[in-house]
Amino acid sequence: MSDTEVRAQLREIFRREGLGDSTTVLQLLSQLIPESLQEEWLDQMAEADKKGCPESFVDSLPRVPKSEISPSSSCSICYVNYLNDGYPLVVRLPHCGHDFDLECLSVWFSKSTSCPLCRDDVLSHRAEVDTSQVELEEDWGMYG
Amino acid sequence: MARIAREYKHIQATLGSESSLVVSLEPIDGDLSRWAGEIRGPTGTPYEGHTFSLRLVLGDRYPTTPPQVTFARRSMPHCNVNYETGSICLNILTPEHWSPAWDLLHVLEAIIQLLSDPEPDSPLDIDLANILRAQDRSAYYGLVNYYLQS
Repeated sequence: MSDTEVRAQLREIFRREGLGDSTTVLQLLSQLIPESLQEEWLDQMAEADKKGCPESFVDSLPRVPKSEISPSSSCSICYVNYLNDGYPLVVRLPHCGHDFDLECLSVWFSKSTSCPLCRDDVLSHRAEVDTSQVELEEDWGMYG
Repeated sequence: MARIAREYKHIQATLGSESSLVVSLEPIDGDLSRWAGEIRGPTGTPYEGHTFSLRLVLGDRYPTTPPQVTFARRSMPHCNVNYETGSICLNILTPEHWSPAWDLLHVLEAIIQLLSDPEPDSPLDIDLANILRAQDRSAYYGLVNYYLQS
């Protein structure tokens, strides 16, 4: 694509949606820098965007049964009462005990690793579990 | 219903009490992504007796991302505020320190707190910060007063 075409496309995107869809804009902008650097640049952008919790962590969070949800409690992210939903999907963070809608928390954890209420780094506790498993396996190797 | 619409209801229900330093907080032209706020200066500071205007802009991903908050241009002399542009240096407004559990009223309360407790170690106004670093609070307040009167 020539520079003129790239500029025309950028102009089109800005007119259509402003800065809303930054992925497309970034991909187009990357074509204006030398080809050898393009991929590296996009990779760095993707990397800077991540920083959240792996999806497997969010999936592994314990659900709070409906019977244990108090009628007055609500999600601190969307401010909606849990029981407004007939089938509330509420999860509790294992270490600090704060609870949230699964949907709200997974959006937050795609960008962050801290509890919205107490800032506890939720991934810091997981590491301990991982090491213990490694040691266990080594023991098995020695004596087994 | 989006979270900000719930906030709006809550704001309408709680604002207006005499004791609060938050005077008003309203969406601009009914657009819930752009808000105008007014706060009173805290007592015991040179800001006392003055009212300050703020602009709050919410991105599509709010409350996952923090709102962008600025004072009106050339209205706020403070070591953590750029006097010309009104931009504010406050850690809870950065993506790293923001929490989605906070709302616009929390943000205004935090800014009022910042007026009482200036942070000279992360300054946007170097001159005011240097005066504070020299432990000269009365000179700092004198200069703030001078700006506010002019």
